[in-house]
Amino acid sequence: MSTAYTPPNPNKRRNVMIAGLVAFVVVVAAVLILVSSGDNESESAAPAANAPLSGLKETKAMLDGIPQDGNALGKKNAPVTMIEYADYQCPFCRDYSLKTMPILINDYVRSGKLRMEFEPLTFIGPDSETAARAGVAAGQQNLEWNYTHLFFFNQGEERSGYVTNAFIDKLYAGAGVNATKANAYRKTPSAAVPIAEASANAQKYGVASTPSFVVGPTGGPYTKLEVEISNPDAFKAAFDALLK
Amino acid sequence: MLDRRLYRTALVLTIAGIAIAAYLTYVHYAGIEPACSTGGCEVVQTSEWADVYGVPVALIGLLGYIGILASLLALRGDAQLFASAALSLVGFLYSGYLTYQELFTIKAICQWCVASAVVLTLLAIVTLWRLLASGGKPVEGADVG
Repeated sequence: MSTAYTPPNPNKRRNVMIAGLVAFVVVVAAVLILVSSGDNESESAAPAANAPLSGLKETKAMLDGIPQDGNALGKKNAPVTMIEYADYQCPFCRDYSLKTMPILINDYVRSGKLRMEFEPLTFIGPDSETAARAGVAAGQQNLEWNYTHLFFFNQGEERSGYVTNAFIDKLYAGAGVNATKANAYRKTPSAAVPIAEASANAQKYGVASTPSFVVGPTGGPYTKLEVEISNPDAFKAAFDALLK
Repeated sequence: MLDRRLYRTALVLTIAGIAIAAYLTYVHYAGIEPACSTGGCEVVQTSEWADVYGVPVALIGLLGYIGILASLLALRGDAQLFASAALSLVGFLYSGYLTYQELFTIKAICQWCVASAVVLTLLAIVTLWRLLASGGKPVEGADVG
């Protein structure tokens, strides 16, 4: 008994290839999704608890000799004030603080022309809230700017839970904050008040991302400053216009 | 004729995708705020879904779009159809996942990311359409059309 030769059906072969493509696509997409949702847990790039604190020298050099009052840096009678809205976990806020801000402080705050205020926002997560409360508590000792600058120098991976009591204690030690007093204060409802006010003020000025800035004559009115955060000259132009 | 139109549409979409992804990659490495009318771009761009083991998603997207462009320009026949459809569909599924995270986890909208997700959705439709419609016939390629 003989059977006739049947040529392979090209449509069938093609359907098999398409099924293979679908399987390939699903597997690759699933791997990409798994990798991107899992990297946060696996990295947890928190600064090691026993690692030395970065930025001690820089923070001291930037702030020494400049008066602080709560969340404000600079002379009370400075003609211009700039308010910064920032989240402690935000990497762009870190970049601004470490690269652009020291230039502005040196050129404008130190000479008494500008006063800076820091308003913490906490939209990234619970670590932001913990960090912000600790900042407010440092502000009770007029050392909020030292704490905040050191925080940005030692900022860890977002939402990794690195803002622990030990981490804050280390920053307090570096900033010269009395940790016993500040740790007691940061857990009280009073420490949350400036954070709620910052959030309300941010809404008032239409702040939708961090860092954002409002600027104006000290005491107001303030307007939102639209500048490239990596460009100190853009900030300076705005200050100079107000100082005229 | 239909294939030629679909091929050109895929090329235009891919170039648009490259422009978007290149801009987001530039913004990432320059450390600047993306131009953003939705107000959520920076929140999304700095979220935990914005990079995979340190590689920004924008750069992954840019490489993906370049891969699609290369498959459209350099390959012929079934190889072109299968490669462009596979890359577009992977991009479509992954960008769908990222858009879901934007809407329901991060709760912020990045217009550039949404634009890229729309481009990838259209690319997936166009490349899949070409694949299913061709039935093994010759298609547009590097030296055609």
